[in-house]
Parts: sequence; structure tokens; C-alpha cells
Amino acid sequence: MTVTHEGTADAGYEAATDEARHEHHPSDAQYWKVGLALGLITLLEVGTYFIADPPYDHELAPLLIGSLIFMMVLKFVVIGAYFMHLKFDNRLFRNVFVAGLLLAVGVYLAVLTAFEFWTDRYEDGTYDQDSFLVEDAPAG
Amino acid sequence: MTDNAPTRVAATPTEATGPAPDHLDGVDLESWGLGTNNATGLSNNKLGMWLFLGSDCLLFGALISTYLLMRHRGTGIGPEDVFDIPFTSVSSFVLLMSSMSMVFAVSAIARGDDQKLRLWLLVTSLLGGTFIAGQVYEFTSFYREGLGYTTNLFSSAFYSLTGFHGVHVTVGIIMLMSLFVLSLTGRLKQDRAETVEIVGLYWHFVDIVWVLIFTIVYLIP
Repeated sequence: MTVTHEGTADAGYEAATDEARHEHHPSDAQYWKVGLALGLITLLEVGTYFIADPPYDHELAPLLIGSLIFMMVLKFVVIGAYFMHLKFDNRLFRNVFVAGLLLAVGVYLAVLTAFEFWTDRYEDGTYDQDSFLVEDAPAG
Repeated sequence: MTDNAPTRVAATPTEATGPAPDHLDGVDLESWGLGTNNATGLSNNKLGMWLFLGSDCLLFGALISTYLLMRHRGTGIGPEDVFDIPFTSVSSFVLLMSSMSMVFAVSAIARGDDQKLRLWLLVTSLLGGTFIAGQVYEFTSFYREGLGYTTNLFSSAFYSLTGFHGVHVTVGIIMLMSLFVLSLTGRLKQDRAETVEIVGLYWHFVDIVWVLIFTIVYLIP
């Protein structure tokens, strides 16, 4: 008996369909378009930076910083999907990479939070500049 | 087969799927991750590279987090005093374009076009080299402005993060040049397309890490 498309044989079947997926990889012309789009996004990023006029102390700052972060994520996803072929390759590759990425984001967001990165103590001067750990504000 | 009968696991993808169809005659299935004798049916080398890249996310995550924590600590020169955004923007664009030339190299070897492969490998290496030259220039100018590695917490975190990235780019250039030499000596043919693809994955990863660094470190000070 030969098992097809069942149980763990799915992996083999999925691999076999990889060839078909490769046939759907972007053409060189499409790669040019993706590259052009990435270049334009980079141009927009730099333009946004100069419009935002650091140190970002005006009312539009949150919107502009949000735009910069959005464009960063967009470039990341486009490069991953098209240049690294994650959109076309076997899902296992994508899952392995995304697992590492999510683990990194989760761990280091926790680290940043643990160091009270999200407080405003940098601005109000209640942290000890020479110490690694942030001190509590003095009583009274 | 009844519903309760255990499903026999196919020993190989070939067994699971049957012989390759006629239209795949002459296609090197191994180079695309097919025909490999393992549980997933995928290329171990490619999966290994993805595992490495997933774990490398943790390295750069640590360095970026450290930079975020340290950039406003300490006294003296800060990011706003030294960064040259137009210059770094051009460097970023150069690295981005090197990713595009890398996909053309992968595409060329998949078609069996050795000349184009060598051309795009060379272009990618040169663009990577330009990026590294820009980084060396940037570090040198920062140093002349008084920002040494141990000047303050910002400088240590900044040089560690961008320096580690620079090392990754340098390793990538060495791999690209190795592929170029292999191709020149006739040891990199279409049947080894996956090797170029795997180096390409590494190169694109280096690029996407810079996408993060460029925004987080330079554009949002």
C-alpha cells in the first residue's frame, strides 16, 4: 500500500508540490518591480524623517513615528515574502523563521519592559545615570 | 483500509508520492529540496539555514534592545550629534539593491545561466562592499568627532549593534565571492542551485536586519 496525501505522507506530498510552487516564483521583471517599490518606500522613510524634524516634539510626531514603523515592517515583510521566497516556499520554512522572530520580539519586549523602558523617568530625571538600574523617585 | 487501521508512514517522499512525473525528467529534484531522504521531504541544508536565521533573530534582538536601553544613558555625544541621515540613507539603499541583485543570481543559476550568475554575484558583492566601505567611513568620522567605543553607553551599544551587522555583511561577501570562484572554476552548476539560494537567504536576512536598524537606530532617535 502506498499512502498518498495522508498523515505524515503530507510532508512528502507538500515537498513534491514545491516544484510547482517554484514555477510560480516571481519573474525577473517582477523582482525589478518589488525592488523599485522597496526603493520608493525607503525614499518615503527618509522623507518622513525630515518632515518629522527630530527630536519629534510636535503634535504630528506620533503619527510620523507610526508611519516609519509601518514602513519598516512593510519592507521587512516584502523582502521576506518575495526575495526570501517565504510566500512561495514550504510553510515549514516560514514557521521556523517566524518562531525565532516572535520569540525574539517577545523576549526583548519583556526585557525592555522589565527595565522600565516605557516609563517617563528618562525625561523627569529620576533615574541614576551612572547606574544600570533605574532608581525609584525619592519620597516627598 | 478501515478507519482504525494505522497509517503506514512512507519511508521516502518518492514512496509517498510515487515516481516523479515525466515533465520533471532532467530536473534535479535534490537541488530544490525534493527527493531528500528525510522525514520532512525538504532539504536539510535549507531548513538548517532557516533555523540559523531564526536563532540569529535572537542575537540581533538582544543587540537592538540593548541599544534602545542605552542610547540615552550616559553623557557626552549622543545620536543626534553624529548621525548623517542622507549618507546612511544612501548606504541603506545600496544594501537594499544588493538584495535585488542576489535574487537575480538565484534566478540565473536556476535557469543554468552561468554568466549571469557570476555577473549578479559580483554585483551583489560589490554593493555589499560599498555598504561596508560606507560603514567604515561612518565609524571613522564618528571616532574623529570623539565617539569612541567606550566613550559612553550609547557609543558602546551603537558600535556593537552596527559592528555585528557589519561582520554579518562581511561574512556574506566572503560567501558570495566563494560562490563566484566556484562558478569560475566550473564547480557551481545548475544542479547546485540550492547552494546559491541558501547563501541568498543569508544575504536577504542581513538586509532585513538593516531595515530594522535603519529605522530604529537612525530614523527614530
